[in-house]
Amino acid sequence: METLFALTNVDFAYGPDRPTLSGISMTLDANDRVALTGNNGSGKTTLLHALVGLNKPQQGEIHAFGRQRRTEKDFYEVRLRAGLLFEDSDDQLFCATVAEDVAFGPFNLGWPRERVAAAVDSTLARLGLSHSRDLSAAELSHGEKRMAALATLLAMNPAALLLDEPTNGMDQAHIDVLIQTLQDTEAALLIASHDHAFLKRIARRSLRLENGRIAS
Amino acid sequence: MIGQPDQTRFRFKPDPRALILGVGLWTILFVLMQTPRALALAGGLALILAKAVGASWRTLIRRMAALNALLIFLLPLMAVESFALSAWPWRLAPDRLILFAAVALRANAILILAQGLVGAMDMATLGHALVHLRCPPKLAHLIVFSARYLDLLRHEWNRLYRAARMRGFRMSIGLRTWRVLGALVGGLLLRSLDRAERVLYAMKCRGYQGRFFMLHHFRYTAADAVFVLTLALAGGIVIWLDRM
Amino acid sequence: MHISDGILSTPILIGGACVAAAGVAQGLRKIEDNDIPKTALLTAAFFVASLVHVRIGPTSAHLILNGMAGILLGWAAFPALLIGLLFQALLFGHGGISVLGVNTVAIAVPAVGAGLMFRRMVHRETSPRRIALMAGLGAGLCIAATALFSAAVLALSGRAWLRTAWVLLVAHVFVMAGEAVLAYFIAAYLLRVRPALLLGRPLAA
Repeated sequence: METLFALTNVDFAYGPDRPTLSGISMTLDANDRVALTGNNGSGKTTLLHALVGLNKPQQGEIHAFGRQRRTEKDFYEVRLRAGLLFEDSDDQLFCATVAEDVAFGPFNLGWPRERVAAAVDSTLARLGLSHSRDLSAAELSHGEKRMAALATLLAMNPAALLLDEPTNGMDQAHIDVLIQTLQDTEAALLIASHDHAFLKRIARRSLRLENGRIAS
Repeated sequence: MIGQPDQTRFRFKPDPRALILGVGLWTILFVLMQTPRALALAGGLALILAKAVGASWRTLIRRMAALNALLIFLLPLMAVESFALSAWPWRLAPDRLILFAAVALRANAILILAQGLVGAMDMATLGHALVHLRCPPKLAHLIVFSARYLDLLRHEWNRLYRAARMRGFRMSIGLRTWRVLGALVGGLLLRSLDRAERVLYAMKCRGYQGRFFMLHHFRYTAADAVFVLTLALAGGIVIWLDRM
Repeated sequence: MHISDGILSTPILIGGACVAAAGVAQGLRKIEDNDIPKTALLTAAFFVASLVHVRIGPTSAHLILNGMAGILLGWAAFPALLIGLLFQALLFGHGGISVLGVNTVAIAVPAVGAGLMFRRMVHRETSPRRIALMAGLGAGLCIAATALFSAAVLALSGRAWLRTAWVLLVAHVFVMAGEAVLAYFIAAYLLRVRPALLLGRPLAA
């Protein structure tokens, strides 16, 4: 099976006295569905950010999509193929309307306007968001914001989805749509979450972080 | 929330670009007018326009009340002939009074126009329309972008302020007030910068390379052309009245 | 601090608009692609802060914070403050559309000046107290320049406005003091929690 991400002995620290990840080795294969668990501050978010190059490790190697990735330029391609769902949806919905947020990624992929418009419509319909197409993110409920943020990623047809606490603040109806969507997708999944009931329904294996190390 | 257009039932919806052009044109004309009678007519026309495109009486009256309170404060300052004790009772100079009337009418008329503009569109639409009107895209996108986060930051501020109040902070004139206020504003700036960093991350994650895109395109109809022409014509008539 | 619509003479409005356009263009040139979110978020933050009313001396006034905007944004303060004024005019009816140019010049030129001055003065300075004092000084001077400019354009618009110009100047003595003290405390706070924001470098070498 194709390996999308392979990390070997990755160390990362935000400051000299704050080691956040130490000696992380892990892989994420195509079709993999991995739960990433651990207490607050155990380094889950930092790890997800490192996978797409938002933090550059001080030690160790990151291979992604068949190549070693080190520089900002290396990671540009990684980011187009792996979608990261941020913990706070308001960080991710920065455009004037939901539709424009969903279109932002596809436009950057260089798709022609008609293809972008079609991708926006079908993605919003798939997630039950067609009614909020022309709304500002400020007008959405918390759960809708979460789904809209997911839509911005799905519209780009990512090979991998890295989700940071996807069910945070969601009501059950939205969680059901989310589960259905994730079960249907062909993208590899790496999901950081505290919601064990949710993880149980999606993930096939799990990784546990403790103080920046992989415990199991 | 801030910056949402007023909801009114009957309204004429011109193309945002046409409305911006019309309001801009009238603003320039109002600045050029000098006589109170022309300005009074202009104010009336502005009111009709604002109501037609969706401004609500409530906001109009509230904004005009604030403006006119300021103007009343300015009246004696500018129009009294002399504040010397020997000149008691102080009298208003007639020529200054005419000038003041022109200023007050002009200020109200332009305010009404502006309220018409925001009554009809939100800041995001305004930004989009500005891009189409050849405003520098970076500026227009900054408008859209900052409008998007206005409410969020206002909530952050309210949270910070409430937390300070819960611990007994009250606005007064002492130095302590300024120290706390400094920390609160500093905290707001810090939060906005942190958010800016995360937003930039999110943009990079979707392939940001310095470009913004617009999905929506406005459609310019014959009705919009008629609209702008009508405004131009009406403006011309009022200017003619002013110069007569 | 804004002058309302309807008062200033046409040549002054046109001159103000031209200078503002040049300043905004220069500011936009200085904003790198990756700085756009930062500029936008600070624009929004300064606008939100400008809604705060404080008691200064005998009256209440709202914050201006243009000195702080200049210190944090540099040339980008020009477009940022223009947008702030635009929001003020459209959403709250303060100031006005026709005076947007003049008001932008009045608050943004001193802001950029204060920013450049601050950067030069704190170069290699390590005492947080002295840096905060310089921020306070910069912010105070900024308001002084804003008030002087606004009073000047009022006075130039006709003899009728001379007295108003004087009142505006005197009122801004209080505003100047308040904004200087506030900028001192904002800078002191930022230096305590995240000095790099203010200085672009860590506090100690």
